[in-house]
Amino acid sequence: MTGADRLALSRPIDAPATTVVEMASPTRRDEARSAMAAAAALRDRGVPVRDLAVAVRDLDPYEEPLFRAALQYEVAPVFWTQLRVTRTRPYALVESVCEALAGNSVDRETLLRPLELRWSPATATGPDPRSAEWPIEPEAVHRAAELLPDGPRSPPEWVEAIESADGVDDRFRRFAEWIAAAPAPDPASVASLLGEAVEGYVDRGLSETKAADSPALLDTETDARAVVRVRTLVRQLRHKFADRLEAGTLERSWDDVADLAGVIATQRPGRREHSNARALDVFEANDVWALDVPYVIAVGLTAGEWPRPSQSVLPPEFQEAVLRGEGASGSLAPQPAWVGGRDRDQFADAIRAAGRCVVVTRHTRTPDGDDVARSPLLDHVDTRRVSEEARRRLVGADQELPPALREIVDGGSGGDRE
Amino acid sequence: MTAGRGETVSDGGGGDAAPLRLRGAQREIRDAYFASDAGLFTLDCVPGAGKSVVAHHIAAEDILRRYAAGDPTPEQHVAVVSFNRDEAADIVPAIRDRLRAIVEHEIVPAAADVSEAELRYLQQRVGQAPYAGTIDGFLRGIFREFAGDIGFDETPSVGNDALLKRVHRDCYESLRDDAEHDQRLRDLEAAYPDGEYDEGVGEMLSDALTYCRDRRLSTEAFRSELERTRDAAYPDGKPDSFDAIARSVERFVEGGGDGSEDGGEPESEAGERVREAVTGSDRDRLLGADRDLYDAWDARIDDFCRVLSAYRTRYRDAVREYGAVSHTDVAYLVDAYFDGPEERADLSEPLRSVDDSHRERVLRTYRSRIRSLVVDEAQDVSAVQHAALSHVVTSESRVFACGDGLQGIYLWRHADPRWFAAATTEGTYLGVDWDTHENRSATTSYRCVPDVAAGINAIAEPVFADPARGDLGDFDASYPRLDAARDGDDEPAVHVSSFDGVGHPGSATWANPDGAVGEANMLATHLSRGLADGTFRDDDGDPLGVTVLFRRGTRMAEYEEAFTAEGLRVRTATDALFDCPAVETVLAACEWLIAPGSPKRTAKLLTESPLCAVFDAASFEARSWDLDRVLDDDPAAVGEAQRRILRGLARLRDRSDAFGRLPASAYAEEVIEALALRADTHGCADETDPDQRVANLDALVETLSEWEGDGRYPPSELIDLVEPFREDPGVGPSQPSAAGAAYDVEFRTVHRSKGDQDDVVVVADPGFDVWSRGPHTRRFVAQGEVAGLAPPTNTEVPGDVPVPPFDGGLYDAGDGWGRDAGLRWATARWRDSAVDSESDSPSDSPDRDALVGPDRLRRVAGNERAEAWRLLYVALTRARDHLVVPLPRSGAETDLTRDRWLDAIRDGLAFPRGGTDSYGLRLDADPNRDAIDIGVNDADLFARRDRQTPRLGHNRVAESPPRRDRLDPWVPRFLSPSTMYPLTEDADRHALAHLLGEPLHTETNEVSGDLPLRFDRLGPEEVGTCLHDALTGLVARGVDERAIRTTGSEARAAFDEAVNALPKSVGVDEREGMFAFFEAVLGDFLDSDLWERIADPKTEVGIERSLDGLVEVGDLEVEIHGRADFVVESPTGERFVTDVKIALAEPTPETRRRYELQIAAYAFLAEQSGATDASVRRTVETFGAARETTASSWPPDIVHRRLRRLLDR
Repeated sequence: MTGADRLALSRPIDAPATTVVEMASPTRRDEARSAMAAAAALRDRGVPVRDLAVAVRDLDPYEEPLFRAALQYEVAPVFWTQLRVTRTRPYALVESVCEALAGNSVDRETLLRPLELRWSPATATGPDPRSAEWPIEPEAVHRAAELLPDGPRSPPEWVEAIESADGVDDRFRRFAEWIAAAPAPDPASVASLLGEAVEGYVDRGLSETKAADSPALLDTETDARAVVRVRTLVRQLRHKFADRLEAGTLERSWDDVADLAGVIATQRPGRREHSNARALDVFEANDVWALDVPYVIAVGLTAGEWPRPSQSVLPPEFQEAVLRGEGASGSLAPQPAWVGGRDRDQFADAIRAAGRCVVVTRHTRTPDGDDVARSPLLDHVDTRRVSEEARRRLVGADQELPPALREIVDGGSGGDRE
Repeated sequence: MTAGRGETVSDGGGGDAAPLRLRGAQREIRDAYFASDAGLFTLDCVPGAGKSVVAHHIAAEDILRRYAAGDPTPEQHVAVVSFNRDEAADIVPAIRDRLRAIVEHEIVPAAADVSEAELRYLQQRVGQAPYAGTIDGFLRGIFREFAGDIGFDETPSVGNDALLKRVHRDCYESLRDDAEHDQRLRDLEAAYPDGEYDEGVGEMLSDALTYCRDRRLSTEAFRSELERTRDAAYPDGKPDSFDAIARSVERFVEGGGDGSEDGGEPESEAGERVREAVTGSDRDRLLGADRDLYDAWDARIDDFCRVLSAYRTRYRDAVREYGAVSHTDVAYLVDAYFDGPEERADLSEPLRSVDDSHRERVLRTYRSRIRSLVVDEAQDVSAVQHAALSHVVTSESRVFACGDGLQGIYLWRHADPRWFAAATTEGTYLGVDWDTHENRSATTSYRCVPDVAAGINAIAEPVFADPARGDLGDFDASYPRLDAARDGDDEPAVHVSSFDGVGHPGSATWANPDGAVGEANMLATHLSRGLADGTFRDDDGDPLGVTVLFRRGTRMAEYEEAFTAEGLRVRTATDALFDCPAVETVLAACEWLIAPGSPKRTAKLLTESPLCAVFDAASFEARSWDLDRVLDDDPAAVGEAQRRILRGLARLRDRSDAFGRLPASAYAEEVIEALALRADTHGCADETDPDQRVANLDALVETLSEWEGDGRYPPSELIDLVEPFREDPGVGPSQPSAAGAAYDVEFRTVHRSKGDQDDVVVVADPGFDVWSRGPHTRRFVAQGEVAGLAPPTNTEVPGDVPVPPFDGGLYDAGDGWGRDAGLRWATARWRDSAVDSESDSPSDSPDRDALVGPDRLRRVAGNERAEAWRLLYVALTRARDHLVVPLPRSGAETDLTRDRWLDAIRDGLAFPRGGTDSYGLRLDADPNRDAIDIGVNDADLFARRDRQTPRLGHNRVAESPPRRDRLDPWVPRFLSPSTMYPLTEDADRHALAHLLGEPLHTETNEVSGDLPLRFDRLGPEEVGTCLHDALTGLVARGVDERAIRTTGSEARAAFDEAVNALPKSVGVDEREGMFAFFEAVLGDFLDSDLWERIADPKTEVGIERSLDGLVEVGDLEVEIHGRADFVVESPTGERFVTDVKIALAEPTPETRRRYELQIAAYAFLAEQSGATDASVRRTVETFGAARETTASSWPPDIVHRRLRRLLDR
């Protein structure tokens, strides 16, 4: 980009003659439901799911509403974002084991946490791996939480306490003994002990997830992705723990192991492919550029959301000088994002990605009832607006496709771009 | 309701429509603004005069001029702020539109210098304008620059009500835990106990802190305000005689002089009456009580101020600890930061010791950036906002402020219209006494039609001229008559809905009586018939927008019921979000999830939450509140709906481990799903309208997410956080409107309608008492310069001794429904009625319209009343085409013109008692009309609406719950040829391994004991994979036959490399066993055709070649990603694709089928890529415990059939 090009950042968007259908809903969650109802209605009219994609400028505020809306309209969604591994059960299990091992004594909740998270003895050390004994049923764990004494205790004391508690079964004792028998943390024991916990989960925890899951295996897939990640994490932990011990930046304690695991886990790896052929792809806008699908549903076309105001720390005067290529700053690389150019490009990409039609959605008010303005990016394209009545029919029981979309679906290849 | 633009034409968005042009005062002030480089320019406007239009124009033109003059970043130099959030959201789009209009129509000369491309670029830059929005938002931006300097770790969240409540609660509780303050707090709590309508000490402290920050007061200065108020209630100090009490009565009732100093003869009727009423020992009792009250009050003021001082200190720390501040805090901190310790002796750490150079730098940046400041709704700016804004403005700046003092309705939020008044009249504003100062008054309204303007004038002019109403307070209320610029027609534009009043005006019965037509019923009928017969339709026959405005939310429910009964769709936002069964259920379930195994909690959930309506407690109690026992032991004991709820709860319990890791907004959704609350199929939240229920649950989740920010609240913390709102839903957020965009009528409070307008405006519920909930009912008052703490309520006051005319005697806080709280606090009594009630003397004294009570408190009460009348004015002036008011036909009520909107409207419109017919209203010197027609119930009562939009069904989400079990089963999206067989054979069984990227096992034969393999650390699978890798590695190294046959060092190296790459270390014996077996494998390999082809120097050998493709099956796509071990190409073009398997046992028939399919898949992929397949051979070679060559007999399209099988399962 050159200085003189800065005006290009606001040139009308040069989009092919794709139809753009605009749908405004009252709130963000209504918007998410409108978007997913549209996807479902298109699918139900014979549009293959792979011919549909949802694009969002920033998934953070939209992932949860879109996920819920998708379930409502019986669409299995997949979000092409990095897995938040720290929010997954396999990771929490590893963390909780470290916490149960940390210090000289732990309280009841900390002790029981790994069991809540389906800790099971690894196949190698436990009895029959297919035994129905493990993991301990959640209700038994909750019951034990009521029956066991409160207050911190050392692992051997816990073994005693469990033995003398009425109604707490033997599996709790076995777990407490496992904790009591755990070695001091060194790179090898960390890897083997935590590895054992993870493999125990693979053997018996994961199948619980699958058993309770829907046929689309939404939770199972996430859980399995997490297991793959946590297996890697435990391997890395061994080496990084050794390095840190050597460098003297860590103590030889389970607390520090947990911290280190947290550090590794939050260094997010790249996206992983999603495994369900029947799932609807939901992308962030920066992943849309290479896409080529007939129908794109672009979500969140409100001012402030898409485009989002520039977050640069550089003074705007300096940014503009660079954009203009003036003076000494002329040799610096201008950032289109400074004037919303990147968001604009991504919007243009979303439009170009669509072979037949783009549905743009937006919401008109905040949770507090304040108005939310339409995205200025929509000024660049001619849109066909869906009436509120048609939108209500779409999200209603009959899921009736709005006329503007119906025409395109029924119109054969007429809407194809060249 | 639409945002007010108050102009004549066009939406300003360019296009073919004629552009909007400024006129009259609008134009004059704009001309003045651009004629000077610096100065103050104010526009004092009537409603609808287009002040926002002028503000947006000035901002747009200023930006454009700067751009044309060579400023590359003009949007950085023009700040545009408004008090009103809705309007603030419109600023940027409005400026962008205005820029386009200015350029396209060359409205100003600078426009000629800007090309279309530049205009677009400029518009885009304006989209990023940093200083356009609410005043709060603007100040927040400044605050972020230095938050770190004054002890905040990160940028704190601003205006997070939940967190701020917690901050205040923590501050209060920590004082309770502190021996130094505990006793004082106990005394205060005893003196000011919590009550349904009474603030507790905690809230009083929190209000006092906000007030001090708003007024920039030290606690000592605050104390003297409280003392002055107390002194005003005891003008002679601590009473030393009964006469002193009588003198206070005289002064408070009759106003004026200091009373008699010598205790001599009574000078007034009021004094005389009290002396008559209190005689003998009662005088001593009264005096003793009054002296005690004086002392106790003094002591409580001292307690309050000492506790407040500590409270402020704690608050300072707590906001930093929690990372949460209020909007007032932000303004306060901006002002304090820029003031610095030299200006402000009262500042404490860390504000005292901030880095001066950084402060100077921030200030310089802002002052150099903000060259122009545009302030909309300037009458609503508070003292501390004004102070904070003052820092960024210098006498070199150009300031445009527009507002309307008569629309000042935020005194209660410490808005101070006097700043704007001083700006317009004296030219002082934002700390500058401006050399250049221009003010214009705009009285032309572009909003309403002439009849509406005339009707408003008829009502409002007498109100503002009345020293008992609009002109009662400190603020100058001179009324400029509205002069409508729009044309009108001959049809009535002012309407009265006339009805027989039943009961007391303002009561529920009055609004919607059983079996009779009340205020709301008549209005609903009038509107609905008027929408049907065309009265409230536009020229095209489309229904007009209708907004019903309320002073308070109290009667909205009765109104909504009446309107809905009339078939009108109402959009409203009134009830508390936390006061709705669905939301209560979610929170009760979250509370239970803190420890779902606890029988006590389960009992609480099932008996105290809305779920209790569904369950019979007995059968649970009998089973120790154990969900599983209830479900398992006696299936007949619970019905289907209950069972589903129980299963939902059990599911939540079983997943509760996840709720510590997820944001509260996410697990709240889990609860909603598990209990099917949006659709409420189980009937636990059926009190609510389905769409409203969905909107409420949506709002709950959004609110939690907003409160949570980047943090995460596990159930225990969430419940702690929402506790104040569950306890008192009224202090929390309101329920959102569920009407979506399809509604006939919108209900709003007048405060929320500020800045907006609508075609038809209804002033609802005008019969309330203006004085109710006035300062006489409050324990803590804070308004402008006056702050006061009421006398303590727990001193002994002889209730049997009257102190006429005070109903409360000496002092009685009472229930808050009377007009006074006794002699020593504020009242809502008029002087004449106070006197009249006791005697027959004439009430036409010049002071008849003064209030009774101590002067400072009279001021507070007077200002509040004046604001209530300004509120009426704001309500009336929202109307564009029609103004509708409900008035009773009955006339028996006493005239309460000074105390009720109802009477003021009736008087203004000269509505006759018993009036049922439309009539003409003659007007005197109105700029719009000599007379207007008032339509009374003027709609065809038999008209029926042919609804253009038939009632739509509910949102699906409100009717059927999400059903995960209805999602189509999982189908693998990515497949490999080698695992295609097992996965398509039994997807369910192999899904987990597939997802984990692990090998998919098929039935194999037992590994023979004859093999030299030990399986100490490695399983058969791992051994097979390892040796396979060793074999391909060997070929990749280009090792020759002799070296392989003798298993020389190269073969060994390839083997070791493969073993070393294993994640597990292998012992010597196991390793050697594997190597021995590897030697056997190599033997097979060398004897195979495969080796022959590889070894042939004329062939080209590819190792581990990718083979990818896409299969479309039905409407699905499945990607196939394969890898063939060897692809050998001969010079003749013949290709051999071979995959090698290392067998540890004799292959089973299933294994062979697996290989067959793998080969078929290769062929399929080749077909896909369009290769001619004639010269390709594909085999799987098995070496080791078995030696086989599999050459497929299966056709490639078997791939389709297998995948189809997956789909159809």
